[in-house]
Amino acid sequence: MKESLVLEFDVAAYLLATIQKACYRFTNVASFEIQQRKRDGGEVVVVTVSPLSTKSEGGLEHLGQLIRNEALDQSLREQIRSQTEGVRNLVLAHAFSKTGLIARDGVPPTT
Amino acid sequence: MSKFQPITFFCGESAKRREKYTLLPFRFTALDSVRYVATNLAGEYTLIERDQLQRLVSLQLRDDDPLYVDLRSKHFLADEHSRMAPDLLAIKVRTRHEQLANWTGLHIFVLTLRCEHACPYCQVSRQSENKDAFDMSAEHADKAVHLVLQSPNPSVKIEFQGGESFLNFELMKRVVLTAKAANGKLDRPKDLTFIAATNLAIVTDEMLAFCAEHEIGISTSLDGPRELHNKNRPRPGGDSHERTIAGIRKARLRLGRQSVSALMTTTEASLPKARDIVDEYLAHEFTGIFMRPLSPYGFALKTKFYRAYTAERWLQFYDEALDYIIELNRQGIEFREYYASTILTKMLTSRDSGYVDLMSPAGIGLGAVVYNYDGAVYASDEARMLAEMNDTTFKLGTVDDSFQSLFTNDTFLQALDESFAYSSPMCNDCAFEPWCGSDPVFHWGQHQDMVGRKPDSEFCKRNMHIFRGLIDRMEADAFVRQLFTRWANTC
Amino acid sequence: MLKLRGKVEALDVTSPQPRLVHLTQNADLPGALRDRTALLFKGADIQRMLGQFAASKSATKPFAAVLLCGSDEELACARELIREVRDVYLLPSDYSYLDDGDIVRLNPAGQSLSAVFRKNAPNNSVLLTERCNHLCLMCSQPPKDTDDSWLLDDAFELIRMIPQGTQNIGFTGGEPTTYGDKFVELVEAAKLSLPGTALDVLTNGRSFKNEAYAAKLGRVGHPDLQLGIPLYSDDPVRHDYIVQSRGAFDETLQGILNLKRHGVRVEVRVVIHQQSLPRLVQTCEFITRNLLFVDHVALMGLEITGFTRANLDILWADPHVYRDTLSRAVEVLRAYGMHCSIYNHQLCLVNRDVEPVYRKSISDWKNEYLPQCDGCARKSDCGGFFSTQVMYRHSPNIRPF
Repeated sequence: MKESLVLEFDVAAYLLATIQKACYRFTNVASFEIQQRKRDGGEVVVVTVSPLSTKSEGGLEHLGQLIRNEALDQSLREQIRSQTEGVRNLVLAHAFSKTGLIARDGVPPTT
Repeated sequence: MSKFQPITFFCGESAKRREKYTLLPFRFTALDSVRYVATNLAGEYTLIERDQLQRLVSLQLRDDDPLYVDLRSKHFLADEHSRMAPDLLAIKVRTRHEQLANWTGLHIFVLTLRCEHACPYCQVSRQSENKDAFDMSAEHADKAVHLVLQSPNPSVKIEFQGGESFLNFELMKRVVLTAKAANGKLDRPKDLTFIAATNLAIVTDEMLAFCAEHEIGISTSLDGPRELHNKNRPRPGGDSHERTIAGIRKARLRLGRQSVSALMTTTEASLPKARDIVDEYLAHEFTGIFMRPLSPYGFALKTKFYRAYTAERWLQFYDEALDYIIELNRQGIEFREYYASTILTKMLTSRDSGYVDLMSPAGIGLGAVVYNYDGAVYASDEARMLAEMNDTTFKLGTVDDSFQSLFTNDTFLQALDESFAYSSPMCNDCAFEPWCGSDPVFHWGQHQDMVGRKPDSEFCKRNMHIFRGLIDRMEADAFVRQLFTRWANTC
Repeated sequence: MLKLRGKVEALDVTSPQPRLVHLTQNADLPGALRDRTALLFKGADIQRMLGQFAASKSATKPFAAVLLCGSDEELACARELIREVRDVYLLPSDYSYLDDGDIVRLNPAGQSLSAVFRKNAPNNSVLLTERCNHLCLMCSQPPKDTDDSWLLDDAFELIRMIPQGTQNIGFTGGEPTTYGDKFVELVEAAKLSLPGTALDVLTNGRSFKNEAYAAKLGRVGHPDLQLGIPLYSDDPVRHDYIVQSRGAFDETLQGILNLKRHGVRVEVRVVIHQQSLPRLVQTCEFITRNLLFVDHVALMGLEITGFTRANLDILWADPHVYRDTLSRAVEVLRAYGMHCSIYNHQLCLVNRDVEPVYRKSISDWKNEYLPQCDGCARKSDCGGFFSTQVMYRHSPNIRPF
């Protein structure tokens, strides 16, 4: 019988998109059902993880750990990307500044 | 004389009020169980112990603590006594990023895939001598030259690679001559230099004469003493080492003592022989060695050479070689390790050593570009190797495409944006980030993800070990600090 | 030590106005040149030639002045001979170094003379003012707060008189930029009058915190100008203390940055003494981190004059004792590829590793040696001592090679 694992993510700590991205990385080994529910005055995202093959059960525990780590990774990526957008755009603009590839403001793209 | 004020007068009211200081932006990462490496906005480092760091951050460091004066001087904190930090930091940050806008400086021409060696770790597929389908055509070469000169960089280096680049000597000559001619016609001709990567086995006097005439540098492979080198680099006759050494001698006589550089590739057989390899370079009058790890591409991956040793084992090998090289210098022998030198330039100066593999934004396209024998254009050598394994993610286009369309390639732009180290988890708050880089091709090859996850990343492990190791050695020994400072400034 | 200025006896002056004059020992100098030239008789020449000169003088155009330099006896003999000669100056033998081609300032009303330019000197410095907004603990030219802008007027004239072939001149003070725009005009005048002459200016650089002022100087486009700017520590509190002025560190740094932005060559000068020594190496590291684009770094020994004597107990440091610190400091600068020099030290008091940047540098008019230097094999490589060091303080560790 195939087991499944249920993971819960606090909506206050994780964006839905983040959780989806995390799960997506493991769609080669499991399928996912994602729901949002109320819990203890807050909300949680509930993820039901069903492995695609009937491999070891110990592996399911491990898979759960990997998914949680991945969610953290994706969450951080999101936060840090948005916090550092200014710096990143500035440096990349500087890098491209002499290539003639940067369109002047207000000029529509040619493609 | 009473008209002179004592130094306490200049400490100002803060001496009475203990006015707080402000922190300037910095990051810190553990060096060992006691000390942290802290780097300021300009990538300059200082060591600080945990309790000192605690006091610093909670604004409890006293201004009569010598550490306080040092930290203010090194732009980790600021107070009322000087407002120069922002200006000075800005200049240093700008200097660090200056070279970026020059765009691509290194242009690699893969003249042919043919090669008479059969090195198991070769990232390029080996084809036997009689397959001209694997030579670059004149049409492709001409178009590539045209693209090269559109780079805004005032200095451009054309590197000939292969296979064995001299097996397509006719095309090498054509590229050199057409590039020089076209460069001469530019409004602002570039500083144009050439280098040929070759195993030197088939190089003739005519070829060397041409190299001498056009000041083409030679980059060859020397993996170590004869037995090791020939084992790593088999060819018909089993005499790769002999030919390489003979070729180096001839090239130096014809082109100059500094004209030949050598690279080594580490295989499992190399690992116990760190000192022997360095000795081999010493014996053949090289003034330094570039210790680089094996890339996980091409045949290396197919033949499991790459997995033959772990990152940890390679680092042991590297450390042994570096420590031996330091001992040589202590004895007065001037010999350097180029990978360390490149990193030290980033650690100890605001200059850019231009090393493509340690750049953020990534060096792909921006630092180097590859024009393949078949007319394809790749964002880096590794990108080309990935394509040999049927992954063309980092192919920018072909030589028939315009400069504009090559460098606005969607995947390329996405890779630059996504792999930006400062925006990546763990890199974002890593003290070593100013010295490190992103390597989207490596991470894509390993993890199918341009950013990778740094806790898993061998790229990260390797670099952090080296950063820590260089700092450890410098802090423990004033001689090494002076030696490394000289290496950093003469890279 | 040469006496460059002092009281002299001026006899029968035509006008009380001070003036700059060239010097010659040629009594037959063409008449057209005589009104800006003084005729100099030294020593035995006074006896030999003065009589003849006095006799013929009515037939020829007069010189601007006649200078007689000799011993008391030689001057006593001369008084008879020069009764009908006007504008005669009697100089004690301290001034026997004066020679053809020198330029002196004669002050008849003040009965004094200054040697402002010496043709045979390797360096000539022009004092522009004694006013200064600093009060450095070791200042060798203690500031005075009087209007001495006549020095600037003289300077404009002097640079028109200095011969074209002169290798270099310096502008010093006090603080030369006290004159604001007039200072820039002077630099421009130097460019026009002496285009082949290198110009070194000593300044605290603070006026250049105003970028427009730095731009102005840059626009002059002097072909060989360098500003020597002191920075005594990477610690702003310590630097401000040494120059006795709050805010000096920031303004000096701002000045250096602006000057470099506008293409002016800058030398950073660090005087080594007890107050700057504790952070000498850190200061050089600071320079390599933040001022790598500066053209030269000078590490200077202490001259025991001016305020230094008054503050000797908090300034004096024996170079022999600090030689390793000096070596480390130089190593830092050289490792970063910076040009640097050590000035005003004795060769036996520095380590061999700094000899590539050691300069034999003390101005010829104030340099001497000690008795224990006799027989030293490397005396000719050594700059010797400031006369003031011989007089007041020097290392007890001097040993001949």
